[in-house]
Amino acid sequence: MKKHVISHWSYLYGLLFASVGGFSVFHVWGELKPTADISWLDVLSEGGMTTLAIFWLYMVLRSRPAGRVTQLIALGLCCIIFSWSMDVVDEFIRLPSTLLWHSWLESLPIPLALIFLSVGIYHWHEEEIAISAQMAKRERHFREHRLFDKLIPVGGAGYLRKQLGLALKEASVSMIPVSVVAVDLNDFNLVNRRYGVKEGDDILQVVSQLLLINIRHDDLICRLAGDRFVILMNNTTESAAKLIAEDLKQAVSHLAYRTREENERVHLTATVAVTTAQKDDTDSLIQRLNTLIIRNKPDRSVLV
Amino acid sequence: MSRLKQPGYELDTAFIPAHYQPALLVELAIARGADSRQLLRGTRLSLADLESHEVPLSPDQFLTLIGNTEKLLDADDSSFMFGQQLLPGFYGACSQTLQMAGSCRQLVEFMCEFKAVLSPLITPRFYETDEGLVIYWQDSCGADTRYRFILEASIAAFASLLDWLSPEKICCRYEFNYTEPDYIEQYWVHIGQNLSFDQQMNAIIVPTEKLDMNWTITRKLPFKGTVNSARVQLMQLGWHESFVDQVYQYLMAHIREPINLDRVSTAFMLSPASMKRKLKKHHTHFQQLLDLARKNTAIYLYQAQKYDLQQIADYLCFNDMNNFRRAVKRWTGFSPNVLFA
Repeated sequence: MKKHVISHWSYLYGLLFASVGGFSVFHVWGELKPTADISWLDVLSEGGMTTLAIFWLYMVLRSRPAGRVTQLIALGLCCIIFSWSMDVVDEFIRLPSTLLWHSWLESLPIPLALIFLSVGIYHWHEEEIAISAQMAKRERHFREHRLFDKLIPVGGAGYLRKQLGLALKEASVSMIPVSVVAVDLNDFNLVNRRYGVKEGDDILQVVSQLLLINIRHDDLICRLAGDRFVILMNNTTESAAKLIAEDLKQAVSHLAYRTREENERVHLTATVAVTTAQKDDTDSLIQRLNTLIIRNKPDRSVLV
Repeated sequence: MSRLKQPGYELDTAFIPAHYQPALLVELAIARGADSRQLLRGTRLSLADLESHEVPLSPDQFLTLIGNTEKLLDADDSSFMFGQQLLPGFYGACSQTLQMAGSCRQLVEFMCEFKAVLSPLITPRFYETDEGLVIYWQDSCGADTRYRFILEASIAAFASLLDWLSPEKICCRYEFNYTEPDYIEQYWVHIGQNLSFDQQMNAIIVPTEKLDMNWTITRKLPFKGTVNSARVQLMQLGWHESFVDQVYQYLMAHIREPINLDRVSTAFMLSPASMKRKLKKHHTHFQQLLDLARKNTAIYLYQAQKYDLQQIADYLCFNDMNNFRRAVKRWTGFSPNVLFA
């Protein structure tokens, strides 16, 4: 069955249409209140509520991809906005109380909205669980979107520092070893020179995915900067980490990446470094890892 | 005063070909998802201008472009990625000359000679000490808040070029005159480990033993021809250096003489008021440049000539040692005993 996806604009058109409809009902059957009768405090609070609800809808539509969850939440919010906006109009125009429309316009959308929102939020919860499973190797215990890497879908250096700080604190209490592995691509700036930044960025994304596949479920991968990735391995001895690091090195050298334009095979190799925390703080550990990676770099392979 | 027959470029002199450095920056920004309309905002340029060789940019326009890029990409590595593309670049014979450099020393000499083409916003200069060649960078057009971006790009550009050209790894030392930034990882990965912050200059120190190592088999005739055509290119560009650079160089050349605004203005055939105005346009002023020239001279004398405190003071014509100490403290923020220990 083909899924029907409602475009983001149609919510706004639908809402506008419904509001115009509701307004015309008021216009036809109602009569304008004299200025003295208008309670400005109500207008202000109800108007403010409507504006806020429009802001929520805007945020949801701006940030979320189309799909079931977005659809339900947006419909729920549309009902709320409609109901509240009728409330505002109500302050200016009096409808005869004999008219059944009056209470319908304001009250009927609200239960509908609540149903939509509840179902929507339930599905959202399911969706979050699915996403968290996918994100497992990229974040541990807490999410901080402001520390996400701008380019590659893993955490950046700031996130690494935070996580490393937590892991080290934990380790000093429970005496479990914490190892860190650095993976650095060899001569990556030559790749950037030769194929351009766009291709270089694509390669980094592919490499980050590749590393993600090749680490264990409890490991955390972050991009330190450029082409240097750091993997935090909790409860892992140095020798165990070395084995994994060697696998990662192999995986990178077997990656058959082909450029977008020319389908040219790019041969990548990586240097790895492994160290285990001993009475370290975050900075000294990262510093040592960096020194190691420079030392492990092979002599220049002539790449032309 | 023959040097002054050719005036220096200023903040609003349009001479940077759009398809040189600016096009590289725009390409990077667009590749990373920046919106081209927002990117070019305030630059009075269109995307088509960047492809043509007919529309030169002023440093001011280039700086606006840099500011927009910084804001739109909002990533710590933008400057470094830009830098990696900068050198040797695609700037005609000047770029070709860089690629043909036979040693690190020659590379640096070319960089400095063709700076107006290769690095219009920031000027590289060098001197030699026992440790090696000190290449230091100075703002040439009043980059103001965008100076850090340009400096990071230029240092990364040089480091990357050196890495590319040199057959063996050269471990340089890097000094910066600001405190360690919180995105220090970018420096580690794109520049190197050997960094020191809170120093007096923004400099790269290339170790002596690597300076004259032969890189390539020099092909004499094509090489000479290329250098000559790079000089022709520079001549056709019409500018060798910026106005601020010229004032700085004049100060350096007359550092031992009593010097003041009036005298420098006369040498540049300007009224003191115009001189003041021009310097202000480039976010600097006379005393600031004079202090910089004196500070750099003192550092040079200490590092390269091994002068002691007294000799430096004598050289710079300070009669009173206390006066000199106070001056050094004002230029550098450190007492001379700490600095020239």
